[in-house]
Amino acid sequence: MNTPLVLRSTLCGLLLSLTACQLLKTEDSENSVGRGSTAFDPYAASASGAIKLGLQMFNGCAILANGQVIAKGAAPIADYPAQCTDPMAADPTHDAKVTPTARFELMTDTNYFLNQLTLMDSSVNVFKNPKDVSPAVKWITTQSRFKNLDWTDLGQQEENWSVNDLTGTWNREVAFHNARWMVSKSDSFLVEVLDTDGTVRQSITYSRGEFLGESPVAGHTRVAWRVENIAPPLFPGDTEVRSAGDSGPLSFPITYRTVVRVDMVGSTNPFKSFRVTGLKGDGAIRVTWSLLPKEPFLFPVTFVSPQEVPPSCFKDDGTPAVCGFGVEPEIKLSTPKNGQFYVPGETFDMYLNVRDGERNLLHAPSILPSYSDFFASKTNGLLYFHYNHFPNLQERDISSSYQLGGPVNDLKPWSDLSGKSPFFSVSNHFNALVIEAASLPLFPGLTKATWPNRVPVTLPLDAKPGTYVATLRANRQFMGERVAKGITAFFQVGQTQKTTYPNEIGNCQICHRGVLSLDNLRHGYSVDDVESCKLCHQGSSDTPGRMQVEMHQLHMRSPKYSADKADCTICHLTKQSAVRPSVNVCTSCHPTAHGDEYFKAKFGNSGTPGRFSNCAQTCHVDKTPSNHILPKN
Amino acid sequence: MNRSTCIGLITFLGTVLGTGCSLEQPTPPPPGDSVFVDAVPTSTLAGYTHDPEVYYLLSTGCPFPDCPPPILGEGLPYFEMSKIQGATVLVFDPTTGAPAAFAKEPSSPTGFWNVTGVPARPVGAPFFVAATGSGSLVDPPPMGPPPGGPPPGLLPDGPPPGDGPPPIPAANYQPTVTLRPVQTSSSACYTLEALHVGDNGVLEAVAKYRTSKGLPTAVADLTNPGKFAGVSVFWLNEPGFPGWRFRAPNTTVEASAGITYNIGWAPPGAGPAALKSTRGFFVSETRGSPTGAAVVVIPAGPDAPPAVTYFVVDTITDAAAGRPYGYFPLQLPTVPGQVLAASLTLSPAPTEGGGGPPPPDLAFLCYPPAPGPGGPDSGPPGGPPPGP
Repeated sequence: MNTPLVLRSTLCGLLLSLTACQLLKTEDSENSVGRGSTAFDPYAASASGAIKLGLQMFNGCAILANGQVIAKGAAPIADYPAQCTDPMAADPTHDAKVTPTARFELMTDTNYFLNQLTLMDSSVNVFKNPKDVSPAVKWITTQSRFKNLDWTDLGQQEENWSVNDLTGTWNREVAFHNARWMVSKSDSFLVEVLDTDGTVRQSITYSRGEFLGESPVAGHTRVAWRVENIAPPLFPGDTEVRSAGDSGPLSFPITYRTVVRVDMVGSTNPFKSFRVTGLKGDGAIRVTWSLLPKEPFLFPVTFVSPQEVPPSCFKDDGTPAVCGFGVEPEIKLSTPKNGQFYVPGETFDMYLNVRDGERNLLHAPSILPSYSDFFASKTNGLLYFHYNHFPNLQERDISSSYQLGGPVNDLKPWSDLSGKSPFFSVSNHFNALVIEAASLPLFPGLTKATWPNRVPVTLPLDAKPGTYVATLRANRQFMGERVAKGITAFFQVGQTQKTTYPNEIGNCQICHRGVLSLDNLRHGYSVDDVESCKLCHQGSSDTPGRMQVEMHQLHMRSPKYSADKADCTICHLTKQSAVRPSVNVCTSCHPTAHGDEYFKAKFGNSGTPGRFSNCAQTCHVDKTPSNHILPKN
Repeated sequence: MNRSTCIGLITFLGTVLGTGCSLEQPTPPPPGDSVFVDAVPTSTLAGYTHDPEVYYLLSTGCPFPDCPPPILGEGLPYFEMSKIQGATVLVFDPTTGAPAAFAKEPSSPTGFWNVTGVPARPVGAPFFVAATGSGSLVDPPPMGPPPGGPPPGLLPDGPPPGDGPPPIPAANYQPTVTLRPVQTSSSACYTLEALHVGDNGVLEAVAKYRTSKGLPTAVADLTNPGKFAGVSVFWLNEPGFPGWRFRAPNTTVEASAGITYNIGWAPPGAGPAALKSTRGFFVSETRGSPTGAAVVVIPAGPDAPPAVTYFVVDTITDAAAGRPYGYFPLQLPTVPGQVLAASLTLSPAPTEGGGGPPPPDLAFLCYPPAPGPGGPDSGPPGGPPPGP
């Protein structure tokens, strides 16, 4: 058979069918020009070609996403520690070590591809001199687990100040970059599957360039020293550590943290997969980084055949079912009292379910598992927020959470936080599927409590009419698969006439398509809903990240962003959306702009000029940036 | 208290606080592709049983090698040993005069209870947790973190094993209504207290004191509707996070009707022996209560009011300590035959400024909205605690 001919014929047939179905049309059902067609994602569930494998290591021990340390078991890895640093400890360096007990299961006869590799080493409350971080740098380059990397050319990148909405306190971070290993593009990772005897049964090599995400802005690879939970600086260059005072019941102590985190996420080549067949019992995955050829990273695993997977998921009627891969959040709403739309002041209910890719419930009908279940890895992989995942593990995306707000036509940036938000949202940050406080022993019985999946919502009396959106994002780690998925559900308030997103930003699909579509990255939301991101990423805190700041920092600093960085039209669909940057956005690309003129403004959340205030409204109303290409209208 | 007695109580409260609807069973949302489902929303109420007298005795005497702070926290001995196992807990709806739901099981060996199927009611009259008076103190647990609890690193350190506390006299618990309103505005109302008041503590102290003053009184008389229209027990706690239980000495309760008795306590061999109850409590003739506990009794008779307003009074003024502590007036019905019990977290004296980070989401505590500027009549009895 003439393969090229077959290929051409297939492509032509596919193109015809795509055209006939208007699948290439970039105007979605909400008439939002600039969005994308339905994303191509062949890796969503059990029927997919391969499963997204995520491997995480903290201070020399393999860990699960729920913070539990993986036990060696009978794995053939002599060097694996019997005692490990506790990722859940307040001070992992000084608190008692733990004996690993968790299991990391891999399903046999299944194709996996490496989609996340996280290797981390940290030192907490050791390097405490805020005026001299050289001892921390010395530890990084000569004592940490990554000491044998090539640290030549390491330099200080910048100083970042960020605020935590849980405590109202600030963190100061000194970030380092440019070491040769950090800018390397030719290194690779050899992944080997060891059976119970230590024999290599599968091996495959991933080049570093095959991972999409590595940016520190998005919380990935990071080398830094930081001091947490302090008061903001009083003047430029102020390095004095001052107590932030009483920060309420969730008061966290001043903490000094030195971190080396190597984190690569998002395979651009999921076809490069490996298959584990016929193995039983304990084995291991050995990852050898070409930059550290003599120091492989060891991950104990337990091989489980598909027939051995217990029926721990549920059918809708509550009968047990064998869990599949994938994660599918589901939102249902109680019927409006008038049958068509909710009215201002009305209370209604969201019913939130999380299913696998085969539509099995991960939890009992109407009941979400407890935090005790979560920490014991008994949630069929459903992941919850836990307080130490961010400071200790520096991992951004673990929470399963929801949000609701609108009207969608008002989902626009909100610059002056002392003013009223242009849209309603349940909160100005994410809302955990199961309340975060239940992860702490603050309230008797709370960690062991299961939770109804019903979430009551009361609309404000002044809720604007239009289309509103509810979102649910679920994270899951199951049989080695680490996956996140977000969905939206639309409903009407005050009127039956639908409204649409402002359609002021978009075009993400120019780059984010195929396996790199937004559906496959980070929270797993569709490109069609990018303007909903503001529902959570709009507050006064940097904990969830302010969207317009992070989006600029992430893309403008990325070597993988190949478009003209002065061309605002790539992402901004309207001129108005491109002429209202804040001082924080401007300085993300132009760090010396205005010098220290607006130093205090960077630490105030309201007023103009303020941290997030609109430069155009303040001074630049008649003078738009001359060196930027703006949309014409 | 048996169920019929309890239902009598509920009927009475229902008469006082309102009338209305019946208990509805939860209906799970049906499957389907539509975003909308039809369902009758219900809430789950859960919490722990609690004998505040035992808690006081343990936290005051501190019979442990290292004295942890008096916090209602798992693994902490004061909390673990003051729970009641085998207690029958119910949730009643004052608008119907009927139970909203009973716990399907008696309280667990570790003192926890769970009631499902309580109607969701974001506004309107709140529900109350009650106990029928059955059950006994939990078996003393091993000290330190509980097995199977939260992971290491999240638990406060428990005290090391030691000789443990001396035996605490067991009580016959009275039917007790916990005067903590529960607004089912959330689908889960958790960490709720089901208070239990026994016959050998503060009530025995009141009975002995009254007898010594020429008013012969037995403990059983206090719950005899023919003799008393009501008896209410207040434990007053210092301001702070809802889980903290630092007793607030020199506070008391003044009532629009009835007689208030301030409660003191003395260890064996000390205090007025003839007036001390089996557990060492006695009525103190001080202006404020030495223990932060006060009992108000309302004699039966034609003059007994249907409702009484209670005012928390702090006898101490100390701006640096945030005193006098406060609480808004509580207007509560008199309920013959039952003990009404409250453990209140007081508010600090108002200060200039304020602000700070927003409080964490504590919707699962299901406090009713704070009373409005109109005073006690504008909000339900009990009300929310001060902000953390």
